[in-house]
Amino acid sequence: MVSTKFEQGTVIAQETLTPSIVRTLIHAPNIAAEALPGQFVNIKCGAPACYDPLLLRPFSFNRVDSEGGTFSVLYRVVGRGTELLRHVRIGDKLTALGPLGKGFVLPEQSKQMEPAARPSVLLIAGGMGIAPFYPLATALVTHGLEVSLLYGARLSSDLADKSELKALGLRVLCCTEEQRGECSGLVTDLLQATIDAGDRFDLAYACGPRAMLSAVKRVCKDAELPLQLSLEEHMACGLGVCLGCSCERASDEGYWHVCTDGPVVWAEEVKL
Amino acid sequence: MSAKLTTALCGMSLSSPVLSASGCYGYGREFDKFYDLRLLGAVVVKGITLRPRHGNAGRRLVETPAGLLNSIGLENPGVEGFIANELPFLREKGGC
Ligand SMILES: Cc1cc2nc3c(=O)[nH]c(=O)nc-3n(C[C@H](O)[C@H](O)[C@H](O)COP(=O)(O)OP(=O)(O)OC[C@H]3O[C@@H](n4cnc5c(N)ncnc54)[C@H](O)[C@@H]3O)c2cc1C
Ligand code: FES
Repeated sequence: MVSTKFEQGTVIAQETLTPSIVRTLIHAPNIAAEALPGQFVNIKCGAPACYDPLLLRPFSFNRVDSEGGTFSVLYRVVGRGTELLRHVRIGDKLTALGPLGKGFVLPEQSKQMEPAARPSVLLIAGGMGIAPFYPLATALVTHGLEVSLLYGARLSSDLADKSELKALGLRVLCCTEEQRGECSGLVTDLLQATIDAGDRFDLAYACGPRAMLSAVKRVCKDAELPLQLSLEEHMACGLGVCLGCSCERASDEGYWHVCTDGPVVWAEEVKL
Repeated sequence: MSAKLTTALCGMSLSSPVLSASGCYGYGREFDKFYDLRLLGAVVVKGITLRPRHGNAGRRLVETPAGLLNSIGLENPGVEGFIANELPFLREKGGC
């Protein structure tokens, strides 16, 4: 049972990683105390009394320090809400609603995975799909698992969190759409090449744009690799009330609601 | 609740004239974690159809300046589903 709360948080730090990628660190101890990897938080972007934009914006937890009472969100500035959020200043108050949704299922909780002596886990991130992976990777490494990350972005400067994830001990392979530097191409090609090269994994997690998730799902299905997806959908309430964040179920007619049934789901449960 | 707030509506006596608006309040359950639902005069639930409906395919929400347009397509569990799964909770919270 998720213990969701509204909390008035305080901005502790604002880090501009690239002209369009920002990390905001917020002190909100009640939310931080319960946030799990893969869950998300809705943040009101803009002045407290301003109702335009009306809807709170959903962001994955990118860092959580439950003892220090803080969490951060890592985001790309894509529209009005994120533009307002990038301009908050240290000490500003932000209304947040969280933690929300179901997070990642860790290998020891997973029935889909074959038991293995030291399970090998693969993370696959496209663009800002990297955001929820630092807390997940921390949990996996703490459990003594071997963790690899395939990470694709448009530009090499967009590869946020790459060195921090390497520093956790992950094997990190990156690709960008640039023709120089890192391997060039899409992360789904990198995934196929990694599997074709004979690398074996017991469980995979993916987060990124819908088209990427759909391609990752196909490749993992062929490789018989159990896969969890972190989905994004347009949201209003985040609480399972408005029924706006639907995603087609795979097994029967009808829909999941990404804010409460997800955002993390098993790949075989959804039609993408 | 003060007697002054007691309100009569369609033959029902409500402890308060403050009601949730239909559609944005689900079946009440989702808000129980935030405050005591008994503070409301009534919970107005989402629209319920005779048979269950899955709702609309595709994108259901679009934000507008200071507002929201939605086209959910009356997704609901149907009368029987509502009676079996939602009504007991509402009764427990004082609904009739
Ligand atoms: C569970 C969840 C977790 C998320 N985590 C992160 C995160 O950690 N980092 C991050 O950068 N982004 C994340 N997002 C996406 C983020 O919520 C949107 O980018 C943000 O709400 C855009 O707000 P805006 O006002 O700046 O843009 P808007 O002006 O509202 O929209 C700008 C553009 O972004 C598109 N967009 C807006 N919201 C969504 C959405 N929910 N899904 C897909 N496209 C959308 C719009 O269609 C439009 O094209 C997450 C979304 C969900 C549902
Ligand atoms: S956002 Fe309202 S039900 Fe998911």
